[in-house]
Amino acid sequence: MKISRDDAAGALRDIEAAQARAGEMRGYRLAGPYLIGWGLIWAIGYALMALRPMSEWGLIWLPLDLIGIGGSIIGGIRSNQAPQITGTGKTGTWRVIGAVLFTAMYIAATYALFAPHDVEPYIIYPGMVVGAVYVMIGLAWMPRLGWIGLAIFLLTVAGLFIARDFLLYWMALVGGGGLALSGLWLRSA
Amino acid sequence: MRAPDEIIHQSLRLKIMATLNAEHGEGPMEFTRLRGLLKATDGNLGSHLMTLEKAGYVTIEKDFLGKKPRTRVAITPAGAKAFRGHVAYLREVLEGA
Repeated sequence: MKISRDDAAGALRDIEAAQARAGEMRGYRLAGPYLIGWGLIWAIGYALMALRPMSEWGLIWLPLDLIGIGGSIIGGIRSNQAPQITGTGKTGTWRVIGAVLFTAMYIAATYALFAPHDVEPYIIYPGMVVGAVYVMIGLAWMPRLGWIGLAIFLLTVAGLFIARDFLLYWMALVGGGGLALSGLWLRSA
Repeated sequence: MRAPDEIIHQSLRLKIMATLNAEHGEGPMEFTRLRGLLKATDGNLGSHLMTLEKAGYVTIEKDFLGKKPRTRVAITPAGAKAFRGHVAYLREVLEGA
């Protein structure tokens, strides 16, 4: 059997494409549980915000965020059992945690800078930012995350116009529920 | 110079081996997931998997998940070694060794 240089180049391209696709799908499967977990946290957090006075909102999110970050760390440690896949090793886990913390810091800094007087920006801005971050990740590496981000972004903004009177419940449903459903979709990849 | 692996070099079998090798360490892969990744038909994928199984490059396990039949495929150590060897051969050809 004789293989020409063109055949060899084509075969190597096929191998690279197959491995890239397998890696992308594995990335989705690993990301799925994170989205499910954070989706549930969003749903619980926004639902509790709707039920409790504004003065208690910080107390609602502090433990929920700690649970989310703790869960992300545990999930990352478990995924380290398959270190040969790029982006999911110990460095990958800390990148995810770093991204979560930086996003939270960015949102807090924006509030500090613009100091909105109305309550709506405090409710919808996190959804817009998270949606935008997912769109950027989707454009760069993982298209499915991009579509999820776009849906979250658009639904969050739409809530301001069509669900202003029950915005917190809207965010619990489309933000939290949407993230959790998206996580199920990714996990099945 | 190394020799090509004629079993692996066929287009779909090459993709099967590349995919299973990339997932090596995650345990066996479900047939349906592999079929989705490769965009292959049941019959075509099944027949090439049998060729690879006969060569000792993959193992095929059939069991039940509840009442649902399930087929899972994994690359063997011999298959992983043969795949690495074939990739090395292709690189040698490309580099004109």
